[in-house]
Amino acid sequence: MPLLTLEHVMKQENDRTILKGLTLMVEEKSQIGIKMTHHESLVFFKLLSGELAPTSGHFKKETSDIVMELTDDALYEGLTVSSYLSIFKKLADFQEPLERSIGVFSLSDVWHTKISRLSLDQKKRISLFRMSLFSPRLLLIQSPLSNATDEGIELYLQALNHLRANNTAVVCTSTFLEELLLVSDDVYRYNRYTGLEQTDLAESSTGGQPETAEPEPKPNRVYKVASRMADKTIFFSPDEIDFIESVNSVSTIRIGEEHFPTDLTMNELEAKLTNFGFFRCHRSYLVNLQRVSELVSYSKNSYTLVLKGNANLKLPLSRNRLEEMKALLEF
Amino acid sequence: MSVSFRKISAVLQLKLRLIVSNMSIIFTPVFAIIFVIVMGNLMPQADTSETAMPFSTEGFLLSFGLIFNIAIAGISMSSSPIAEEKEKHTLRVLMTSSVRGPEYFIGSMIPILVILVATNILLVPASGVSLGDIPLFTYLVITTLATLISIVIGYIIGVFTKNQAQATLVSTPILVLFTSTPVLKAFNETFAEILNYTYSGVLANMAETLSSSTEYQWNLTDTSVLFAWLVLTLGLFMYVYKKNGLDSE
Repeated sequence: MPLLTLEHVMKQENDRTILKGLTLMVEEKSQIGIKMTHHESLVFFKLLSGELAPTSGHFKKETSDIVMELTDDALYEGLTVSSYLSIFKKLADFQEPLERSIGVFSLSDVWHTKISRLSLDQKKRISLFRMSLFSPRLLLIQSPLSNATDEGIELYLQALNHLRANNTAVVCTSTFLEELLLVSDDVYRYNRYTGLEQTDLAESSTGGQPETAEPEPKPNRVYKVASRMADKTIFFSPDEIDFIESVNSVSTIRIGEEHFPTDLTMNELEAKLTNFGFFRCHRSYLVNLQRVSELVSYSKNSYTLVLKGNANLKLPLSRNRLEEMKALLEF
Repeated sequence: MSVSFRKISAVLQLKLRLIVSNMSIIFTPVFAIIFVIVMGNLMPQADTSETAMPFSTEGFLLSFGLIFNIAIAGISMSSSPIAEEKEKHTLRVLMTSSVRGPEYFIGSMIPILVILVATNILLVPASGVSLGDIPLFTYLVITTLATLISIVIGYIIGVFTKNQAQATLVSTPILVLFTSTPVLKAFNETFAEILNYTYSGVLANMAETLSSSTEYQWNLTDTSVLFAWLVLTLGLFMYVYKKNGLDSE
């Protein structure tokens, strides 16, 4: 039985819609990542924990053993790690000795150190340790890896896996997709117009899986657009992309409110993505036709494409490309 | 609403460890004792039996020390930690760790109350009044009730404000009013009459009587004033708590 079930849940604050179209099922041991803003995440967690009631939609909760951690939650800096955790052990009525789990959270060498002297990575693991004392069935964590070092991420993931082994489901939110990819099995993106959309983490293959084993199977028409950011390269499936625009001669992938620069030129991208339903609607724009919802003509020579779920986002359509688009969409 | 003694004990343990890790919180009660001793050495000896003397030195020192400890320390020691916990976002962690408001308030109150009551007792010899000469039970009941009122006032400020700066801003005029009680009572009859209906006024009256030869007599006015203040502050606290919650962010 799922721990939480949300169907078309919507939440308003002061008559302003914060969340809508939330349809999600949280199963035991699942690790879900949702890309959303800080405030959306705050309201979402309060909904899941029962602190807030949804404005509309169906919300079913099978457990009340939910513990959450928000990014600005702090620790008592004046206490040592052991005294801090022993207080929460008492609060949680946790029966096992804390010393048994120190290694899991990689805190052995700082056990008697004041929290104020610890690094952010170590503090994050203390928070995780604290939450684990309550033996939650569901953990809600906001931006678990933000500002963490590579070593810190590795140790945090190790501790998180321990919780997962104890049947704890984890829902993480972040404004960064990269962070969610590390901590989650299923990643969703919240779009304030269309709700939750699941991100396909598997390699996409329009040719489908071969039914019989071939000597050297090669994927057919697999293509991902790469964006290099700092020391990482992020790959996007074409169906994730809303459109690509050229800003100061740099091709920029647009996904929702996010921008990701890519090294490829607009012409190269057009050549690669045309087969995936992209259309060069303007010299500076390459749009995913699956995302187009309206064609608006404000004047005889002026055409605009409106994207699904975002009426404010309007892409120009060159007049000389109108016929080509009409032919493509057959209208 | 049921409260868990285990959680109260955990909050108490937390508060004690925080006090030990940061002793500055007990600075005000300690300062009250030092202040009374220093002032006692500086002030000339005066007695109410002498002609035209409106107060005795011991009575003035004891009432000043008590108000310093009960009003200033009581209000700041209870309001400041709540405001600090809100500001540093540690209170929310406690709240999301299944601690309820009443458990937090009771657990936090115990160490403050113990420190303040101990200071109230130490102030008696510090002000020059002999412990053997005062009705200790009456003294403890009145000072403890007044201390509780101060702690509740501090809680109201703590719940109402969002950070330490706001808490200081809101509590300053209240503290100035209460700490001026002995001086205002001594030099202005109209104020003295009005201040008899404040809990600090009751404290000042009691301190003054304890230092003189006459024994303090329980009276309906003082008792009613103390209980009325306790009920009023508790009522206001409940209202503010229900309206704002402990961590309304």
